[in-house]
Amino acid sequence: MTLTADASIRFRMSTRADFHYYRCIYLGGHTLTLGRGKTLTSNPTFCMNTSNVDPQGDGHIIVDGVTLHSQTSGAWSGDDSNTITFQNGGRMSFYNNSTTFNWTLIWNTTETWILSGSKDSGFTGTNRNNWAGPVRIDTPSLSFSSGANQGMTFKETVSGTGGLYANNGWLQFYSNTNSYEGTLGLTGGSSDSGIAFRTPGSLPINDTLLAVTNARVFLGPGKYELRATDYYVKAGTNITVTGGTSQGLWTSLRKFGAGMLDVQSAFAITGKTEITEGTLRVAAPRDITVYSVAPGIWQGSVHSSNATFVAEMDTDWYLAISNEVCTCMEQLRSATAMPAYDTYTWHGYVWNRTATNETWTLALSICGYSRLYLDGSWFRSTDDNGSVSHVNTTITPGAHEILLKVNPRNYGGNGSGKNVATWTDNMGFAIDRYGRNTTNYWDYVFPANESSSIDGGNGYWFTRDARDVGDFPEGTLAALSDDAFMATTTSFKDLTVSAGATLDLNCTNGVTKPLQVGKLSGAGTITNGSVKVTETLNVAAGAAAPLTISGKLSFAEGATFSVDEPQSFTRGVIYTNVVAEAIEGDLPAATALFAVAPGKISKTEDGRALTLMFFRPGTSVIVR
Amino acid sequence: MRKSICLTILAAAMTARATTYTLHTADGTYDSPVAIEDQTLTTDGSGTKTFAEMMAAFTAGDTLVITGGGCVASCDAMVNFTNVTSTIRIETNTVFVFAKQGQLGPYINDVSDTIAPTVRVMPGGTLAMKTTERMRFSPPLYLAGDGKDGMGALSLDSSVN
Repeated sequence: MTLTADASIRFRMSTRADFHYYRCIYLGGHTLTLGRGKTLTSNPTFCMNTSNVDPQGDGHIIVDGVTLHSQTSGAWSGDDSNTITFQNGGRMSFYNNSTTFNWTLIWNTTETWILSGSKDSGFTGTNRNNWAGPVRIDTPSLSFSSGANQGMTFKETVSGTGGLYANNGWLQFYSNTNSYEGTLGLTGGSSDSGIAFRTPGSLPINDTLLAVTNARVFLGPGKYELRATDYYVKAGTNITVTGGTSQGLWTSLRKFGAGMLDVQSAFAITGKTEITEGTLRVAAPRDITVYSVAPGIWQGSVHSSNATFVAEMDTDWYLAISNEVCTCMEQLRSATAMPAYDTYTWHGYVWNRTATNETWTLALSICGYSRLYLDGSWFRSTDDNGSVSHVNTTITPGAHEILLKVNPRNYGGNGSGKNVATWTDNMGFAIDRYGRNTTNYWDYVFPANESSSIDGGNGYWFTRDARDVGDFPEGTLAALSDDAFMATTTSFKDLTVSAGATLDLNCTNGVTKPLQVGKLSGAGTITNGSVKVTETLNVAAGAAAPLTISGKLSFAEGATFSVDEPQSFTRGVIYTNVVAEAIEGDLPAATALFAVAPGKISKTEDGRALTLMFFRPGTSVIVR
Repeated sequence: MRKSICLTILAAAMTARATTYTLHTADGTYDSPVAIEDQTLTTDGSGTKTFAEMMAAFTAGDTLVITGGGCVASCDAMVNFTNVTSTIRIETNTVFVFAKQGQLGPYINDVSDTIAPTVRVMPGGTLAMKTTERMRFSPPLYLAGDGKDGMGALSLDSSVN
């Protein structure tokens, strides 16, 4: 079907019409209107079933009072200069849809967008039901009516005066320039219900309202800025963020409703945080990933299994298992057989110490399942292959993150060969800074060799991450870059975990760094991690249940102990306020409190509970 | 030179065989169209033919023009109006109605339109599918305009899908 001028196809009855089997609508740069005849009042369907559209330049489609149904696969060529406009009750319907649309979509209708048929699993897939071009919403809402767990992905900017709403499904946003102004709402109920913001800016920085019920909210990696507005959850799961923001920090957070809010990015809340119901799970704490001047790289290993070693090749795993300094990466422990399915990892930074881009050859030769990441991207790999794999790449001046992971699987032991072996003996990882791209091992420098892992001149060739404040003398936390901010841990200025609610610190990979909390109060549970109170441990009422921490509790120097309602405590009764795996270090000072009402805070004999007692009137304290 | 002359003669002969038949009528409405088989058509020059005569004389590459502002219903015999080099052209303000498979030329299957004529709808004209049975059609279709009285260049009026 070809347009020779702007043209229309109009329905006189609401019976569905199919345009299918790889046929194409050639628009010839014109506008096709799919509409109703003058007497039709119902909404007919024009089905594109395995069929294509070629705009042939400046082609457009207007869907006027009709349902455009996209079924199975098809090819819509063109780009965001082509528009498809839904108006006057027009609507879109996806069924088993895997067609990718790069056009600009203009939603100017109050009808719903229907999602049905095959679907991707949860938020992980974007092959089906995705709109890859910009979307502009001119009506109050772009609403989806869908079956359970049906979802929609927006790859490009969503803008306009309207918002979006989905029922019993999920939405995800990838663009960092979204600017829609209406409410983004989602009512969940199915297992995959939720909204995912994949990048900062996908949650618009404006006064838009986020309203979620019985569903999850995912915030992908990044630094999110939120303007002063209301973000709330009507019931069930999730999040409310209120107040303004400064420097990407949330000023307050209130989590209520049953279920879990899973925040995948580190964040800091400078105001009050209340977890009143359900669970707030925060991103696992990460140590500061600022490369230091300290030479060498980190190494570590983890006992693995056939079931998990592939997952352990993911970039995030090094955070948990790189726990020892490697000054000699030689031979990947070839002297002794590497246990089957133990994963070894090396992590650090390799430096181009010149002022210009350099061409380096990176080579990999490992007998085992290995992955080499450069600057966070999977660069080379092996799987039971001892032959050398090498490639030239441009290395810009400065530091570049390297991450090498090796799992011998069950290939017979050695991950690499001897220090003086040939390439066929699995030499491991090597770099030729002159870009000769050969298989001559003598052209390469092996980080495996201790003497070559350190390069003099104006700095070390390999350096490792800082692991504590004293390990990065170049700067302070305040001067960290955005990337470094990303690596900081979540922190709360004023945290209350109410009875029955849970804060999950997500330290399941062996990370021991405590969560920093300014003021801590409540009677709920903190799991999977430790807590360090930097300002005040606060007790609200005498009858409250203890706050339970399934980790260690410690206090910064100068931390204090406070009580909101001292009148609620009966003198002479010992109250247990906090129970932890262990309470470490000095207890907080309560000088001001006890100056008014003398008392005592102490640890129990097993060191796991902190108790408070106000003395009975007339009690004598004998100081020996 | 001889070959070139022969090709020229051959091309001229082929051109000469392709005929344009014009059905000019202001009669018929959408609800009560006139039947194409009852109409007299004008040939290229000043000659006329009945519809049956046109179909009997049909040659690949012929063009059927429907014009005059009326509304004309196709018929089953149009299945013999075949070949992709042939054309059905619907002029301004005129409606051409088809109701069954084959009334817009032959149909092979969903993926092949190698024997169907081209259907060209001019601005203001309407090709109307008005049917009570499930049907498919696959001619190369060229559309322009919003049809007669806003009916659409292609009007879909089916009671079944």
